[in-house]
Amino acid sequence: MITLKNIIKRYKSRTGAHTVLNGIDLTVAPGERLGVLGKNGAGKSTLIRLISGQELPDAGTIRRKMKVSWPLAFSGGFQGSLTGLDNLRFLSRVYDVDHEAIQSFVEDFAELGKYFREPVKHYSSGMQARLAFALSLAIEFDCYLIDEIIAVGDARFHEKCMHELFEKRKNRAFVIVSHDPNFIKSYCTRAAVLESGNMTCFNSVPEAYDYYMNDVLYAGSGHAGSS
Amino acid sequence: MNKRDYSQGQQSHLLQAFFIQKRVVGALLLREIITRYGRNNVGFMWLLLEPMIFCVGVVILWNTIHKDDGFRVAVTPFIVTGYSCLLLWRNCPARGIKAIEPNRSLLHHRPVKIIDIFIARMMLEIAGVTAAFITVSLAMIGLDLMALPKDLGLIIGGWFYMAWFSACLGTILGCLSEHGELVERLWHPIGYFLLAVSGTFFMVDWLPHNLQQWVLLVPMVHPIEMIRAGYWGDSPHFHYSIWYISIVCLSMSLLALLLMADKRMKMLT
Repeated sequence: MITLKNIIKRYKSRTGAHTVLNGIDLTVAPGERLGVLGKNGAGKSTLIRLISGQELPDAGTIRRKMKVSWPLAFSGGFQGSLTGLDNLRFLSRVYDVDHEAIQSFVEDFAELGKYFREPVKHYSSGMQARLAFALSLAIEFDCYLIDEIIAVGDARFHEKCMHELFEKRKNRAFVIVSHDPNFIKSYCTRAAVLESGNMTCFNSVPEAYDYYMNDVLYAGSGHAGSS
Repeated sequence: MNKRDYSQGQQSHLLQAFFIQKRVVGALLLREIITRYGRNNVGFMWLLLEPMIFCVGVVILWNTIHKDDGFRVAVTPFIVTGYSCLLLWRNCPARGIKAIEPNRSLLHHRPVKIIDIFIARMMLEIAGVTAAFITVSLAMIGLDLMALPKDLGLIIGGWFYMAWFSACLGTILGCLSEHGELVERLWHPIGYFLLAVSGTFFMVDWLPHNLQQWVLLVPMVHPIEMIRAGYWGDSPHFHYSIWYISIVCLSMSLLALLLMADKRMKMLT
């Protein structure tokens, strides 16, 4: 279980403090797949970083009773000057798993070929994302935090990821943030919409989808509404 | 909320946190060695060799300059003790300043904390200089350029304070350097100026009385005097206060912890 209580996060900007999250309450139960929709700049990545513990909120509390992954995003989490293999060893030590046991899985899954032994800074963003995915699958978490990363690699790799994540690990919890409502609609069991610092939770994913499509994304152009 | 609280164990939170921290610092140490000295096996020997070369070079230089002029004390132990201390309090800030920036990506991983990065960097630097200090001292004793120390305990004590002070200084400057360029730029001249009053190239007893009290305000002077007192014994007379240096180190530790806590909050903004 992950519990967020009245989370407030502000960033300093040239025009004064900017409130990104303004009193977010959220719980994520084991096995639940929560999708968070929001436009660019709505605070989705901030929310993910707060849940992961990478950043601390200005107010409110976050409790984690699960082993939570680092935010899987297009980049980040790797030391650029180290090779993929060195990064694997480093993360194995940090997360206390045997690096030899996971090495072949990661090497196979990430499909990096000889690049596995090259510095990560020479990777493309897709390669970095594949390595991050492979490592997080190998280390095994109770809850995966996924930040817009879903469109990793080609269609076949994409399928492989979906299979590993949502078939083999369907008992795990997921928090997925995305601006792509169709993805959230097809994979999540619950959804919420993040908008100007506030989060609206919905009982069903289609409801969230409709709200996001009509009232957030195309607000003004179609019929306006509020909730 | 800042606890390393996943994986439910039977141990207490504190003990659990300690083991995680130990693991993370270990991982960071290995990573640091690889990124700094490369993959090959002798690479990490530079950790020891770098400060050793410095120290031996200055020993040779000073021995040449003061060959015939009857320097007040034996030149070699004077330089070895002074210069090793200088390396500690110069290298730790050098490694601490801008330590977070290149390691920011590691903070994606919740078990890795700001403090771990500083602990790893300071430990590595202190280990290298300590190894160099021991090696150079043993070599000089073997070459008959130095005698056996009178009080080894006092030397170890002095070295402990020197390392503690240096690690705090490195961490404090490191934290401050993340907030802007000013600290990085100012530290160079200030560090150079401090060299003149740090006791590296003089002993407090050689100074006139009215100057002594001022020089003794400089923290580094105390551990250096302790180490030299441990080497020479009672004569010449040494000036140091364990109280003073303890209070300075404790206050600096507290400041370092406060700054690191603050950094954690402000990261990535």
